[in-house]
Formats: sequence, C-alpha cells, structure tokens
Amino acid sequence: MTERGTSTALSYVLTLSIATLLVSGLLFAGSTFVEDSREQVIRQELQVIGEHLASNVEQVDRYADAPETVHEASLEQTFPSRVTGTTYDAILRENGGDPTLTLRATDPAVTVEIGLGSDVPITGETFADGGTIATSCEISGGTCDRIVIENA
Amino acid sequence: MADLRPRDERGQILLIAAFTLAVIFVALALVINSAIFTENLASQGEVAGSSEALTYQHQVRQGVTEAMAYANRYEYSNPESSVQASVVAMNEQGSHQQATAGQIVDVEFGGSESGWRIADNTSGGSTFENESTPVADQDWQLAEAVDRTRDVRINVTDPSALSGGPATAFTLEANESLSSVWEVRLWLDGSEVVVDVRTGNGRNGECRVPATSPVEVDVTRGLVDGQRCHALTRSGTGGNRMWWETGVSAPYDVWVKNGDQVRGNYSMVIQGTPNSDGLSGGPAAGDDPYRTDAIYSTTVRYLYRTSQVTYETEIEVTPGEAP
Repeated sequence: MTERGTSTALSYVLTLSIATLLVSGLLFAGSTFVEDSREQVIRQELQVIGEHLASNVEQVDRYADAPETVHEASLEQTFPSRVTGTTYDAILRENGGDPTLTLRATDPAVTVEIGLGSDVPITGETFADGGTIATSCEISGGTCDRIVIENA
Repeated sequence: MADLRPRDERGQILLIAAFTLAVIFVALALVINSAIFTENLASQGEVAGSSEALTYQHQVRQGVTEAMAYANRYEYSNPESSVQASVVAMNEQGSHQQATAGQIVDVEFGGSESGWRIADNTSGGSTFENESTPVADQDWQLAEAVDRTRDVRINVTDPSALSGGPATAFTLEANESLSSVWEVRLWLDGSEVVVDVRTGNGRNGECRVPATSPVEVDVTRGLVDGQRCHALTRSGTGGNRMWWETGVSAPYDVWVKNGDQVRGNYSMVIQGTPNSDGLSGGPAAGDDPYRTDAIYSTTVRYLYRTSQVTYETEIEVTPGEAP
C-alpha cells in the first residue's frame, strides 16, 4: 500500500511536466508566429506608406518642374500614426545624388527604403513622424530649391 | 494520498495556457486587421486634386492661348485689354465650376509683353513678295533686330505654284550673319512638297508631304500638315533637339527670299522691328502683307487650393514659341 502513493505522485509529476512542455511549446510557436507576421505586416505597411509619400514628392517635383515662377507648392496626406502598434518616421535624404526615402519602425526595428528619381531636388535630410505629412517646396526666387517633408 | 489537491483546484496549467493562447489569437487578429488596412491604403490613389491642379493649369494655358490669338487677330487696337478681359471671364467661370468640386482656383492677369504680328492672309493666298516697291520685291526683310519669334505659320494654298528645285525655292530665314542662318525652304518635287531645313552648318534634313492643297507648315512647332517633321525639330547629324533660330543669336533679321515662288498665307508674332515700308499698318484689302500691334506673351497668376493641395505659380503663355 505504501508504493501506491509513490506511483500516483510520479505519474502526476510526469503528466504535469509533459503538459507543461506541450503547452509552452504551443505558446512559444504561437507567439513567434504572431511576431513574424507582425514584422511582415509592418514592412508591407511601411512600403505602402513610403510609395504614397514618394509619389507626393514626385508630384511636388512636377509642380516645380514647370518652367514658370513657382510661389508655393505643397501636398498634405494623412497616414496612420502607428503601423501595427509601433511608431515610425520617414526620412527624405539626398544620399549622395541618389535621393532616397527611408521609413523606420521603432519596435520591431524595420527599415524600408524607396528610391526617387535622381533629378528630384533634395538636399540634406528632412524628417517626419507618422500622421499627417506635408510635402512641399522650399522656394527662393521663383524656383524650387529643395523638396522637404514635415508634419503638418 | 490518492489526490494531492482537491479536484476543483486542478487544471491551472491548462487554464493559463488557454488564456495566453486567447491573447495570442487576439494579437493575431490585430495583425491581420493591420494587413487588411494596408491593402486598403495601397488601393487608394494619389492625393485628391493633386493631378487636377496640373490639368486645370493646362486648361488655363489653352484658354489664354486662344484669347491671345483672338486679341492679336481681331482686337489689335488694344490687344492687352482684350486678353485681360478674357482672363477675368475665365476666372469667374472657372472658379465657380471648381468651387462646386471643393477647390479654390484663382486666375489673375499678371501682365503681358507686346510685340508685332506680321501676316498676309489674303483670301485664296498670294505671293510672299514686298508689294510696296514699284516692282514687287521677291527678296525682302520682314523684320529686323528680332529678339524672339513665335507662331510662324505658312499655309501654301497652291502647292503647284512652288518652284521645281532648291536653287530658286521660297525661303524663310532667321539671319544673324552670313554664317549664322536658320532657314526653311519649300519646293515641289513631282507630286510632293519638300520642306527643307538648313542651318549655318549646312543642310539639316527634309520632310515631304503630298502636294495636295493646302500644305500647312507650322515652323516653330515643327509640324507639316499637322504631322511632326523631323527636320524642323531635330538636328540631322546627332538627332539633338533643334528648332527655329537654333544656332542664331538674337537679335537677328527675318527674311523672305524668292517670295514669288510660293502662293499662300503666312503669319508670325515677333519681338523686334517689323519692316514699315513693306508691311502696311493694318489688315488691308489686296495683296499687301501687314503688321499690327500684338501681344507676344502673357503672364497669368494661377492659384489652386484644396484642403490637401496648395499650388501657386505664374504661367507665361507664349503659344507656338520654339523651346
């Protein structure tokens, strides 16, 4: 009769540990899957936002490209302020004559780069966070010196 | 010792697992929701009104072009006020229409540059000679000290009157000096009209059209009978862009040569000094070519605004000027 208790305790421990193993395996796989999907969705979303923003930059360039004197040229568009729960920012930079628009999500760290036409007038770097982003021309003497992005 | 705990206290691991799994499913639902939103964002077009700003600007340009053509042709006593009135009317109509679509559009007359219109629009066509001299002069200067020229159009109403070869062909030329010349010659080769372009470097090229009447040569736009003429727009050697007056520095003179070898009409707008002997002072009956005051270019201030788009510019309209 004294051995019955041992057997019950052993099987109880075995059951518990197997159940724990299975459950933690399931949870680990589940959370990894969700995390991977999230990163993928963030990348896609940044890509889409970036393409929209790049098309705004090129449209402003078309406004400025006309041979006439330009007084003002700007476009505003509202984007989501967060992508899949994380904040992000957009950077428009000269990149040594190869203008690039970079979008960076903070957590998880995802970066997407979009190339722009090399004749788009962009110098230095300008930043904007998610939300409403204005793309505009900095004008001097009737011509568009550089295209900048900023939060409106 | 059969049970270590009472029955109702067992199963915590499963409970915690189930709860965590539920949280994971909720997170997954949120992620999928974001993915759907991304697809939605991707399917949206550009910022509303951003293309219309350029489309309407083009319409304004077209409108001003028509207004200038009308003013130069019919309101030559005071062409500027005619164009100004047209711009005001265009603004009133356009801004009402655009306002219904949620856009503010403002078009304002910003000034104009004056010039001269030189034309010979004798009904049925005539030779391109200077009729003011006792004996009609076939080689004569239309204008001197010309800075800019636009809308140079020749309408050959009777191609059969063209000369049979290049040596005596009718020629219109922009002439800075003996070596800096840009010219277009027209002659008849069998059943085809040859449009031949020469520059200071020699012969540039030619294009040919059937000699059905009339043959229209739009010199500054590079069109012959409405079709693009390679010789008028591209240099024959390198295929580089080339237009009326390329290689000729302003100021230059505009000459007609062998004006007796063509029958038709012509017109152009210049900034320079028209030949006051050969050109009468207004549209006259008969064969005489004439000159009138004209508007060379018009500047229009253009503003287009929506909640998302702001575009303000000055449009300079010079219809038919070579780039």
